[in-house]
Amino acid sequence: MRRIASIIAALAVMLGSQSVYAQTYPSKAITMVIPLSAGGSNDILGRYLADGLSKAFGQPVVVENRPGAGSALGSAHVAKSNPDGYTIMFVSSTYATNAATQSGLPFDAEKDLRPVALAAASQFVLVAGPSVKAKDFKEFLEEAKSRELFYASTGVGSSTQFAAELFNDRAGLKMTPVHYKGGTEALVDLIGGRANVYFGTVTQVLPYISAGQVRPLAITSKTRNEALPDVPTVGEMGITGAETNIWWGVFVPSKTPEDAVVKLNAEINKFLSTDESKAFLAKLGAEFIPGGADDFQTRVHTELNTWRKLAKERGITAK
Amino acid sequence: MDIFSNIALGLTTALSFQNVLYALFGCLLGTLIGVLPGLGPLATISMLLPFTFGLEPLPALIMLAGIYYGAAYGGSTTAILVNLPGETSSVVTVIDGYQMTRQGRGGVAIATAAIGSFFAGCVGVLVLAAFSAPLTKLAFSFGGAEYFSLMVVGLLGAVSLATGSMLKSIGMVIIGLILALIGTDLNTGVQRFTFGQPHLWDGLDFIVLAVGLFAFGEIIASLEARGDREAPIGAITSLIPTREDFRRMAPAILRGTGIGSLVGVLPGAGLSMASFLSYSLEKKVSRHSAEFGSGAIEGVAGPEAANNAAAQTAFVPTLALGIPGSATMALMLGAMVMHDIQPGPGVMTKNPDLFWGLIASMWIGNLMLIVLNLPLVGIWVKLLKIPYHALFPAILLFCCIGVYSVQFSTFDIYLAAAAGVVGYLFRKLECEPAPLILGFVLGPMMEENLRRALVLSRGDFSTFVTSPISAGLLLLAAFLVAIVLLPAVRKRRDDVFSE
Repeated sequence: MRRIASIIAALAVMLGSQSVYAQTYPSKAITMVIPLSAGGSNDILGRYLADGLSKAFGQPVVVENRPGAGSALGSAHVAKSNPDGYTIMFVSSTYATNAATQSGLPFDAEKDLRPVALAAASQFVLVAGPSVKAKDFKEFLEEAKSRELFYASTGVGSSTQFAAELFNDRAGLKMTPVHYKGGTEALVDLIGGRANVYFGTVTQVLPYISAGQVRPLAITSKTRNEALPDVPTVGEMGITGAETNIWWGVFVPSKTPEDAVVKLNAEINKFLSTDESKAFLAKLGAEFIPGGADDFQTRVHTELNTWRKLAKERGITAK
Repeated sequence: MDIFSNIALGLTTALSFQNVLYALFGCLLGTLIGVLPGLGPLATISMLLPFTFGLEPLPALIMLAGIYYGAAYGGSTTAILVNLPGETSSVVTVIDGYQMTRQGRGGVAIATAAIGSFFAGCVGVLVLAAFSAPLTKLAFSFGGAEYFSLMVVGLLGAVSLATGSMLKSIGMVIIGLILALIGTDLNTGVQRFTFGQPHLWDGLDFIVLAVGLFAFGEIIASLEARGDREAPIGAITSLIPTREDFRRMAPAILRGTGIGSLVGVLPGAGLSMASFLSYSLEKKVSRHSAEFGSGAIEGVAGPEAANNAAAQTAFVPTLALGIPGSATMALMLGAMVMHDIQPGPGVMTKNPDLFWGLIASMWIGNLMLIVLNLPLVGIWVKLLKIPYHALFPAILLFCCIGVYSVQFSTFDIYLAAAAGVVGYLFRKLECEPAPLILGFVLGPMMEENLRRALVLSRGDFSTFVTSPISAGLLLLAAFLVAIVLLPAVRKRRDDVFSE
């Protein structure tokens, strides 16, 4: 009897402390680690979210860039941080592609970090440079089957390579990768007529499409994009299962208290669903997708499995 | 399109009180971060970016641009005074600039750098205003083969950077190339020489190597030398360049400006390539080439002009094409997008006040920088009067902060310390670190472009000679080799390279 009482007492203390935690969290500054270099859309988005969260919480959210090893160094740092809800990570879908291609990561991408909320997502547009004769997607498929084409990629195991390889796989094509350090270099070679096609994000390629320097052939989403209403989806063109996207989201060390996860998820959802945030995301060609921590977890794990399988089949590995 | 009316439009926009204030703030901040090693324009701009969301687009961009070229000015100050290149483009400024400081001519060197940068900046802005359209075409015509050939010319230039033995400088370039191999290979994802250390996956950072080899190495050597020699830094004799100085720097500045304006336009080459090429050229054409490496004013004037001209014309691909040439430029591009300006071919017609306003503000910024920097020369130089026992620990501390801030990793500080020991050994062996750094910077670009060109040509090596630009550059490279190797000119070369 006494034992039961003490257990109940202990439970009550635990519950009590948890609810106290839930009420007071966050009571001090939160560090948001961005495991990618400063600059670029990742950084802009992360800092925008940090700014919004610090206003919502009334506590500073301090951004810390910890680039290195394609987000692995920063991720490992967060994985080893104190799981008290005061260290969070903002990362792009590089998180999943990196884990699928790199062996010997200094952390476990499935177990050490817990997905909290999906912040935003965007799609890839398949664009062709002047070296491709095809005017539309149908002609492009014929051209790609009749001669060997090069797709520009932003590095072995990058999101752009996975988008292209998935497309290769589903459309039965044999396009070869040519790797660049970044999307900019890839676009210069595409426009200069050296590389043939590229899977770029909507924001990245939109100006060149408007200028007539590259031609959009298809978009890798389920529905058409508002900014490019005339560009068909891959599904419409009869290629099934080639949908891919790029996303940004927040992670925490896996032992972080549930309360902190719930509160972070709620505030991120609340902040990003405002009209102002939607307009901001639209400028980056991204959109907010509301959802709980579990939805995001499912998305990350599904993607990890898809990419691992594809990486194995198509031989995309970093050694 | 009338260029004068455009410039007038730009000036009226940029000269508003508010815009001038933002330009001033940007330039001041830029100079400051340029002087602090490690903290570069990239980190500063990205930290300030969220604060500019509340501003009008033009003042925001004017401020960010001010930081960008203010940092280029500030970076040369540390290069000249304490042998510490804050960025790749000031590596060559170190060679003769620091020697000038040791001869008590540090003030003259800083003034020369400021004057050269100002002139080049002005010309660069004009080039940007007048030739944006044709220059963007040039940027697109550079692919893997062309860049590779340009790098070959650059590497051959690297060998000429050294003042001592040719063999040693070739050796140093090769060591630089080997160090550059560390990291993940872009084409295959294979990790080279990383020894299972995730810290090495991205390779060594330039700052780590430069701080170690130049700053740490120099400090160790100075401490050793104190016992038996005069203080390595001579008393400052004068701040203002003499008439003879002006006569010598003027042609160097002109040539540097020309090289910089052209090279800056190429998104894949960068500012460092501009200053490296300018230094090699100055050394080849100067009548005082024997002085190079021991404080030749041309060696400061040319490269400084080149890198500042390139800093201006780097805006050509960014503004007119939306294609940034560097990470900093990519950030500027991001800032424009966030302020609802879509850079690209339409920017000149859609937002003429913004385009020309920004260009005019660059010129105002350059003017501001020279007004700011010339009086500051006196203050910077006074830093050298601080006794060593106070100055050295301070430099060491700032260097460590800079190195740490690159990746927030203590591993990098250890690497820099190791590089410091190596740098000291090199000094003892009379091997100069500049060619090593050049090999380190150019090596990866060269390999990447070589392999990309070959992938795209499906392994056909003729791709390097069928492109006229590439073939021309390779011919130039062959010519450079011939000058060095032909026995008839050998004697002249010995004169040129003799110690």
